[in-house]
Amino acid sequence: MIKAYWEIEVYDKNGKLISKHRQPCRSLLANFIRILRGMLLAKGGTALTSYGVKASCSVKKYDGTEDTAYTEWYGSLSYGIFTCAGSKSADNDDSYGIMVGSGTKTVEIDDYSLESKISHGTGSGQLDYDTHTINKYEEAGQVKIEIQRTFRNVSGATITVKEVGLGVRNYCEDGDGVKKDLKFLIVRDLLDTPRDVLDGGSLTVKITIIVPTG
Amino acid sequence: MIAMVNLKVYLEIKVIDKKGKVRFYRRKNSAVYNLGKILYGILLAIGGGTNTNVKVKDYSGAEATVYTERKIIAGHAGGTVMAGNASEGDDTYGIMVGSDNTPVSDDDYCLKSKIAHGDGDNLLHYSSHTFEDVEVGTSYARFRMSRSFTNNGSVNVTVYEFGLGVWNYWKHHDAVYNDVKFLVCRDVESGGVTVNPSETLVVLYTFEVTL
Repeated sequence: MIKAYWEIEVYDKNGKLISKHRQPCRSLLANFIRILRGMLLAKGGTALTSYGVKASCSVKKYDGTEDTAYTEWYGSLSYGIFTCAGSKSADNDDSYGIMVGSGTKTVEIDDYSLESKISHGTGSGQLDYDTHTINKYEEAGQVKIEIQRTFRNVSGATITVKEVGLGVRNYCEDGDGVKKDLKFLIVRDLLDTPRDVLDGGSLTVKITIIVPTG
Repeated sequence: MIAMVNLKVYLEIKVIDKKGKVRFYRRKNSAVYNLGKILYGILLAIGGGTNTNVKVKDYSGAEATVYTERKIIAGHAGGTVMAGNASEGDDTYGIMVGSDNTPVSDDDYCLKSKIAHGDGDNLLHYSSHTFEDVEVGTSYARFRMSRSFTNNGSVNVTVYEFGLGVWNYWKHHDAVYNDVKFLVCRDVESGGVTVNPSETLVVLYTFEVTL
């Protein structure tokens, strides 16, 4: 059995741990099934001089409209970059990876965005999105995967986080330019207990996936 | 059974006799292991700027590198992470069947005794795959992929094991850069499923998330 859970840690302005909370990750969304189908739908083995989109699927973007994600793609010019569903967004990038929000809407299977994402920034109502740390630990009988991101509050007031999500990026580019740059949500959960992040403090959100190895 | 968060994978097995009637049906949860590893690799990718890979066990049991993101600064490049849509007659990936009844282990990396594609005795004719559209209900989303195996030989063929193999395939400078096939599901029907001559076995995998 493979398990996953969220861990939420809140720190004060001195870096002291104030609270630590763990809850199951319950809500892979319909978009996860869509991109999984798209990946399996690919055939592979494309001829060496055949380029372009060979497999794709439809997903729902953050605005709820549908768009096409590429799941088998070959660039034809000078260089190439391709990712199906990467989550490791950079410092300050609140457009994918682990994201947090203040919404309380009950999770629905076809959710396509956080209800009310807290944006990256240092102004009122914003949190400073850090980089991601992604680690894999091989332990006796299991592999543990951790994706973690810290959010710092320098807004001048307390910010309450109520929802968490994981967005991913489908991206391909060759010498002719960017051919696809699409982001979409694959996980959304409400926190069992909302977490207050005091001014000067920080919030660390970690999703852990445990894969048994027999 | 995979209970990854709210993800489940089901295996369904049907045998259709030569009159087109379903004479055997079984549904069970599916066991997987490499699926978790490749999911890790997929999420590990940045989405536009690095080479990302993870290790899985290929069909031989060897640790193999599979890519989930590639960035090539000189030369054509591209690929696919976990293709499962093998064509008719291709028994190297996609849904496959075998004749070994060794119980499932989370660490399975191959069918123990794959039944090869063919139209002679002790072979099965591997069809192309069918992918149903994603179905989204009020509390679930799922899709189903399936493949048929027809016994065109003259003797019964008994199937015990079922698997789903995928292909991590990348090109680079108009040459193959990575070419690894690995198993993400293996299941065993301990009593065996007999496919008589002229009968067809249909194997379906359903991937489902529920709230």
